[in-house]
Amino acid sequence: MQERIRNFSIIAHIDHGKSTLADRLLEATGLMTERNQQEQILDSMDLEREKGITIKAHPVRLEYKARDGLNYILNLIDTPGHVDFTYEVSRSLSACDGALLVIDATQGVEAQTLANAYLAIDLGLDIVPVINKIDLQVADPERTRREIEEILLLDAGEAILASAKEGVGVPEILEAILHRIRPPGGNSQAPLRALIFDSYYDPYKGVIAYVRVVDGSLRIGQSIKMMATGQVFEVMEVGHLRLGLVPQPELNTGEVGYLAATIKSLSETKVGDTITDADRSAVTPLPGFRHAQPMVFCGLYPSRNEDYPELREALQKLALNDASIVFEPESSPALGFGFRCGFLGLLHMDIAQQRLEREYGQDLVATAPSVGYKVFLHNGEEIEIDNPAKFPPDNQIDYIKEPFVKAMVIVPQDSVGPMMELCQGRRGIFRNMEYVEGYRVILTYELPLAEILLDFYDQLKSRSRGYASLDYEFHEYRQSNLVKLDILINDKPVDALSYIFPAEQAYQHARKALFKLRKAIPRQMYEVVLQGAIGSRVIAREEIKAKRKDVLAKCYGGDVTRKMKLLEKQKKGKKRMKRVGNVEIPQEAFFSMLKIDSSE
Amino acid sequence: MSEGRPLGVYLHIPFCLRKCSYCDFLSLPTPLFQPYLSALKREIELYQPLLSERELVSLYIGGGTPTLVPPPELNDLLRKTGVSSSAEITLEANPGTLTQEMGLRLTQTGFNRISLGIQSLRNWELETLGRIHNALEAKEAFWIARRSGFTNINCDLIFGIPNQGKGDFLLSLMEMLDLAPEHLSLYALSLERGTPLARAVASGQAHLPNEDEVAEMYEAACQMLCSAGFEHYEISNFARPGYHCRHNKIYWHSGEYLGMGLGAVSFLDGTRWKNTRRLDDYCFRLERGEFPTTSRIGKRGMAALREEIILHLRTSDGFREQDLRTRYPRAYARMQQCLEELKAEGWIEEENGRWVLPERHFFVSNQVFVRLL
Repeated sequence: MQERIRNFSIIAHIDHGKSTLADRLLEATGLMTERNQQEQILDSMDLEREKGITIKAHPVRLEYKARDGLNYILNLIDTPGHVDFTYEVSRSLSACDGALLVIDATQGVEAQTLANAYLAIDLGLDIVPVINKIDLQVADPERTRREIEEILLLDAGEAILASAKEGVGVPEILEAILHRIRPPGGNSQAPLRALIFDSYYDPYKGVIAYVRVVDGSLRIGQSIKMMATGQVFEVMEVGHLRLGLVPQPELNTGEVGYLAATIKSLSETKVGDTITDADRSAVTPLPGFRHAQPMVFCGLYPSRNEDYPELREALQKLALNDASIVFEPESSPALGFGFRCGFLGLLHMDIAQQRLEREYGQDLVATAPSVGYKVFLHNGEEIEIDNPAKFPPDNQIDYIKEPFVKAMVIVPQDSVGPMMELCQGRRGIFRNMEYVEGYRVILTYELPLAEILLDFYDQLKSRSRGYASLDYEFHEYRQSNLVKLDILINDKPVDALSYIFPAEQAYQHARKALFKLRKAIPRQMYEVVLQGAIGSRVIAREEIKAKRKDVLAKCYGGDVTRKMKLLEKQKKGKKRMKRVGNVEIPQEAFFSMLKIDSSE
Repeated sequence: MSEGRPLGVYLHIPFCLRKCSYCDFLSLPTPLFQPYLSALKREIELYQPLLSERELVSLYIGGGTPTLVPPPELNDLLRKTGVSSSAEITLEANPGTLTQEMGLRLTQTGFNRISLGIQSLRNWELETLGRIHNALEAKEAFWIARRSGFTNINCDLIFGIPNQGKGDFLLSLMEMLDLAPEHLSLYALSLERGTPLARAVASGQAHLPNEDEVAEMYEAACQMLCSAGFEHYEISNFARPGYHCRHNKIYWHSGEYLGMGLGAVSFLDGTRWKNTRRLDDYCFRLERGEFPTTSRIGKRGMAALREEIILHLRTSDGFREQDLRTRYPRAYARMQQCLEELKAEGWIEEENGRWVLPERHFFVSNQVFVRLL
């Protein structure tokens, strides 16, 4: 039976055609027609698409009749394609034996191609390179082939030429999955070992865990134990993942599927944990994988203070489906009660905020994202700080460490200069430069993560006319000379606007930040004075003049109703603003600190 | 004339020779007068029971361009409403359409107030606004009105026109004062979506003066008019003593009014309603003897109080606390704190139970009003 199963992923850089290829595979194996008949399932897929993260986040079981006349089971385990979710790519890959590495023939190897390929190679997966978009005029499959060999050190001789859009190469890909990716190993007689590689919360069934059965089998009614937590559950339901959940009596060695066992919270089923039989326990758990640590933190506050309990509830619900979000209550003199939330990266943060607003109807004010710092005090104490407002006074601080990432940028040769300038300006430490195929360059830098939050990605794209691609991973904590910039509005410090900058750039940054802040805060009833201060020293100042014109011209009988509506609308516009003292601060203002290009 | 409760009457004439570039009011290019006027007369007849039991304190015929309607027809409309000569009877007039002959007919008919849409006395500004008259024609229209016997003349002026400097505006205003009107309305140009002027600004063809420049125009105008003996009795309105516009005061002081004609609005017994904006629908329904009414909004409690406070605060009279307290005892109690806050911050003033928005805050009045919502 295991001989007839293949578990694989598709990995690619953004926009290289991963989703289109996945759709073609679904069509070629007959799942798409099934999809057309099941509109409800399609709807739930649409909803997921709406949520923004990758669509087929859940695995799909394909049934394929091969050229040899036999029927095979192909489990496609999809991966998200953004640097924030590298960690999720690695956990999806842990459940696979091989991967299709899709590369756009018009673009060649990009940063995430490289990062994802390395992940797959490290996990010992069988890799099948697919050169996609060969139907396009500007496609250069030969150059792409050479890049695969030169950069990825993979044999590109057997790379499949494809156009997922046109359906070219799809039959060859299906056959290659059978012949070039090994069937799952594992011992069907051994005690159960199943890897949890993802999970979500269903209000009716509790936690639904996606599992790969490595040894033994998983049956309804079986008593199972989570090897990391030791908790025991009874299996209520197992099954295959088609377009929805398809219940089965059992899952056998090598199979991928889902499991429900009235598990109440995601914390009881750690993704990466090994499930075993409670009565016949395995001795050693599966390797699992490193847990994602939140890298980026921000404060989320309700626009109106009285909505705090509602926000807490919304966050709790959100975290049920996204275990990588962490949050804890915090309070700010300026913003009132809210939550400090940790995310995998900026995109992850945006998605979470969007979901809170759209799905849970929250009216939020988010503070500028910050990284986590390790602060070492003179008294020998070490504290971790993820909120600039909470920095201890300068005279208590011995030194500070901040997170550095290892960043890889792939750029066309003619943009190398501007790119190095950018990285250098962002306190980057040059590590390596490699020429590929004579016209592209792989740059490796160690960069403070905080600099990447400061508009780095947009700068990267604009300085390379859109051609540069970026990937990074956490490297280490490193000592830096940092200071806290406080922002005062009408002489009152607004803690939520505090930000950490490198000491040597504090002055320029303060001026730029205040300039952006002035632009972001609309003129209002009173004059507003903005000041930037380090400790008690004011180093920058801006003024926002009081509003001078805000009037409804004609206001005759005929249009009273309309004018009242205009006023109501104006009032609504204030909703996403936070009132600090007598100043209305719009959401964008909290992000002003991020809008400065520190390498200018 | 009965001794009923006071009522203002508005009649809408939705026709123009050409639509101005900034206008989003209901006006139609094709003068389909006859069917429309018949329908309007029918509407007046439908409201006869109401009209006869009220005291008509003002009648206002606005547009569009009411001066496109032949004077005999205007006379008919007046007679049908049963308005008496003691009422304020205003006609809106486009300076490009007013002839001496017509002016005389209007005063004979019984109009005792005329409102001229002069807008500017600089020719290039009038062009930008898409007006059908030039500055000289505008002044001529004023003299015609005066010679015809109008002793109560209003002139509308617009400021904040694209490419207009403070000096340009003040020059228009000074020439305006030389004409010696009894009443002046000054409107800051507001760009309405979908108008040609809004498109011209969006595409960069026209450049609007900025907030500070427009505010300075307004402030300078307030000063100039004050020294010329005008009372600044509402955000946009100035008058010589005794010449406040009674009709508009009905709107601001939550008086009752009946609007007739296409898209016209009425406010009676705490309810606002609106006529259909579709000409064929309007005529058709009146032909069948039906009211051409569409939406009705009745506001009570807080919503009604807020609206009243906001409208009253637009005028220099403001409101008397006692009046509103009596009419909205519970809502007023809830509103109190907000009013006190605004008072403490100096945005509104209160003396002997009368609350007013001081003139210096007129031009940022929305900032105050929004806090009352």
